[in-house]
Formats: sequence, C-alpha cells, structure tokens
Amino acid sequence: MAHRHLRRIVLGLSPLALLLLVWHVATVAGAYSSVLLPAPAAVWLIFVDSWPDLLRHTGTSLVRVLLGVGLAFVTAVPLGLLIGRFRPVEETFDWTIQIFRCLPGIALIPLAILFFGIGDRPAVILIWFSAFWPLIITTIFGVKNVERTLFKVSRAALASNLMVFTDVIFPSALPSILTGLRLATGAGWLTLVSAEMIAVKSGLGYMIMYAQVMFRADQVVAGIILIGAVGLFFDQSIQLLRARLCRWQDGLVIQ
Amino acid sequence: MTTRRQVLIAGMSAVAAPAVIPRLARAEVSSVKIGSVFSGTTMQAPLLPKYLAEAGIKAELIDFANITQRMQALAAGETQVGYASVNGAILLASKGLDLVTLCNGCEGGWYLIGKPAFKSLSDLKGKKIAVQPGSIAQLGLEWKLRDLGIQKEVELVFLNNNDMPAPMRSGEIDALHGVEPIPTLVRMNGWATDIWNPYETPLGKRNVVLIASRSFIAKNPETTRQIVKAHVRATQELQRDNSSAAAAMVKILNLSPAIAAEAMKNIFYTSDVGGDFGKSIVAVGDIMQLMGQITSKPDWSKFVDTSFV
Repeated sequence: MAHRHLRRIVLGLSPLALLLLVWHVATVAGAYSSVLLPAPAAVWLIFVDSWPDLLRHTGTSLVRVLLGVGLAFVTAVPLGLLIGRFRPVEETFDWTIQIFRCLPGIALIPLAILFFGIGDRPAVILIWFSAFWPLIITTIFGVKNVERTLFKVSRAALASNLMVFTDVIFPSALPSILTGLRLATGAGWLTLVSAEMIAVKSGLGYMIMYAQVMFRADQVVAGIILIGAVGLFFDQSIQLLRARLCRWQDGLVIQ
Repeated sequence: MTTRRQVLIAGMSAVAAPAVIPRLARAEVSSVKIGSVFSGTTMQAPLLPKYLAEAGIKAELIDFANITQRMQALAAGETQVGYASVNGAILLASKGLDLVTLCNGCEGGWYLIGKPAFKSLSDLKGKKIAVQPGSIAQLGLEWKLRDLGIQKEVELVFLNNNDMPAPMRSGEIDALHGVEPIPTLVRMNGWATDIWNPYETPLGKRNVVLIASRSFIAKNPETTRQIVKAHVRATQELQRDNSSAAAAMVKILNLSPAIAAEAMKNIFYTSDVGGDFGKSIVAVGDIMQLMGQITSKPDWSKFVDTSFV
C-alpha cells in the first residue's frame, strides 16, 4: 500500500519536475527576458519573502471560490435532479443550458458589474456561474444513468416520489455529481482571475492582475502556482470524499 | 574590347548604385507590426499604415485589449513599435528591457469626475475613486492624494476604464479618474461633475509616447525614421482635423457624436519633443520611484532618443 502511494507521488510529480527543469534551463539559457519569464529561484523568493501576503490573498480567494462553488452546488444539483427525472422540465431548460454553458465568465464582467455592482458580489456570482454548468450537466447525466430496474423496484414497493429521489436517484447519481463537483471547482478557480478583476483589492486573481500591470512576472507565476496547488488540493479532497461516499461502487467500476 | 552594351550597363549601374546599394546593405525590414490599444489617445495608430505605405513599408496595426498586453508584446518582440503610456514604458525599461522613446504621442486624455456633492479631492476622504490600475491616471492621482496627505483615507477601486460608468451611475463609487471618452460620457449623462483638473501634478499632461526596442532601431534606422515621420504626419493630420478620431470613437464605442466631439477637447495630439519633453519624462520616473512603482530608473540617455523626429 505504502509502495503504491509512493509510486503515485513519484509519477504524479514527474511531469511537474520536468516542467521545472525546462523552465530552469530556459531561464539559464536566457531564452526570454527575465521581465517576461522569471527564474524559478526568483519565484521561490516571492514565496519566502511575501508569504504573509500570499496567505492573505489565498485565504480571500478560497472564501470566494468556496462560496461560488457552494452556491452552484445547492442550485445546480436540485435542478439537475429534476431535469434528469422529468422530461418536461428537461425540454424547458435544455436549450437554455446549452446556450449559457458556452459563455465565458470574462465576457460577463460588464453585466456582472451592471447587475451586481463591484467588489465581492459579482466575483462570487461569476464563480457561481462557471461552476453551475458542469455540476448541472453531470447531475442530469447521473440521473439519466440510474438503472431502470431500481425505478421498477421502488415503484413496486410503492415508494413516494420524494423517497425515490432521496433513496434511489440521489445515491445513484452521486458519483456523477461528485465528478461534476471536481469539474465545477476547477471551473471556479479558472474564473477566479476574471472575477477578481472587478474592483476587489485582494485574492490571487487580483494579485496576478496587478502584478501583470506592474510587470512583476515573478508574482504572476507565484500566483499561478498557488492557484494550481490549491486547485489540486481541492481536487484530491473531492476524490477522497467520492471514495468515501461512493464506497458501494468498489468492485463495480474501474478505479 | 569594350562593347557599347557594356558601356551602357556600366553607366546605368553607376546611376542606380546610390539608390540600390544602401538598401541592400541595410537589409531593413519591409513590414512592421505596430502595437496599440483602441483609445482616444492613440488615434494616430490607424493612420500610420497609410503614411508608411507611401514609404514602401507595410504596416500591420495590432490592437491589444489593454496596455499591459501591448507592452508585453513589445517586450517579447512580437511588435516592433507601439504607442505606450510613458509610465508603462519607464516601468519596463527600469527592469532592463531595451525600450526607447522615439517621440511624443499624445498629452492629456483623462479627468477626475464624481458625485456633484464633492467639489474637491479633499472632499473625497473616506470615499471610493475608480481608477485603471497601472495607468498614468493612477500614478498622478496617487501622487496628488499623497501630496494632500489623504492617500490612506481614500479608497482606490481598480476597474477597467470601460467598466467605470455603471458603478458611477449606480453610486457604488463616488468618483472616477478615467481616460477619455469615459469621463465625458459620464459627465454628459449627468452622472458626475468635474472635481479635479489632473494636469496640475508634476506629470503635467504627459501620457502617450511612441516607443520601439533599441535592437529594432539599431537594425532598422531608416525604417524607424519613416515610422516616426509617419507618426508626425498622422499627428499633424489629427491636429488639423480630429473628426476622423471622433468618428472612430462614435463607431467603435457606440458613442453619440456630441460626446465624442466633447471628449476630443481633452485629448492633445502632439509630436513635440522640444522644450522640457525629456525632463518631463524624467519627472515621471521620479514620481514612479517615489510611489514605489520602480526601484531603479532607466538610463535616461538611452531611454529617450528623439533624434529621429
């Protein structure tokens, strides 16, 4: 078990180590100006010297992403369950979903400012918007893949609609919903930079944006690394949650 | 034996040589990419291809989404010449990039307006002022707030210039320090009134300059001269009649002609590098250092080269 765990870590980190090596060689060779591409050591110095700032920005962004993705979860999952279960609901919302899921968050900044003002509100709304679509689509997919036999059995057992939802549909769709949550979290972090361009003075997106304006590529890269690292942490946490909540799947699907 | 044909060829070669040899020896580029951002202060850019074509140079105008991207493209060598805010150019040059200011571009172009209740900057203590981060407007405003001793009491809200009208209208910000035509648009819609004439700082009206990389200039001195010449002619055209610039604003930004015409009154196209042009650029650098935007200054003797004008 420990051997497998170690192998996972080594394999998982190897592409990143390769990337780091290429980055280092590129900077040593002077392929790009240090203003455009800072050396890994310069970025490391940002972590060493400015860690309190980085911590503050990361904390603020975490709160915004958690709020946005959390809102997306409580809105998209119930709606997805209904759309997946009832055909008229699906027919009502399908085109709307297909249209809106293609819109990038950054294009919505002017509208977000118009309707939600400036500061945290539009930032959280934009993150919610990006996280909503993967969640609703995977939830619908999860409901549509519930085995028909389960419906037949629950109907034969005279289960109420609510019971069918809570005891049959939701648990069966849960693996898909949690996959959607992984995608939604990723989408939330992707939108963060755009979202934090709207008149906020903290957060990793703000830090990256302002560092870009001030041509501080070292800070930009430090922010990117942090977003990636926190994104990975979120993803691994949801995977663990999925493994725990969907233990009934063990042996049924390829892990 | 020398034939008549050989004599004729030798004669023609002698006549053509002064024109052909320098061109071959130079091997300068015949096409350039000009980086710009669509704004009222960079309206010479769309005119450059016309004037450069007359000199046999093909010019491609690349409009970037913001000033940062424009400067990064220049720094990366993707564009050879471009219009830049003088503070952005100083920032990059201070980090060691070989940028050269070739000519003055445009002066002024921004204004601070706010809710009618506020009559001066001092009234904005504890209030929110929107400003585009990294702009010359931000630099001037921060200097002035520091000068007034209220830097920490005023909240600067970073917004893109075009995103400022909506929060000003809804009252979420108390004032905005924007680049034209935004201040005029907001003022003429009655959402704000003038609060501060921003040209009273040591920055004056200094704003946009024409820049190129030193390596490009060294390899292409004649092309550089032609670019500067085209810029000067484009500037003169706009000085004579800026209606084409106003019309472009109307078309692209969907403004009313009256707002565009009014906004043009606050934009001063110039290619003048006389007087205190060089000194004023140094003054911008001084303020940037004072405000902590740069830690070291560029080599001014290399950063400003107006010999092509």
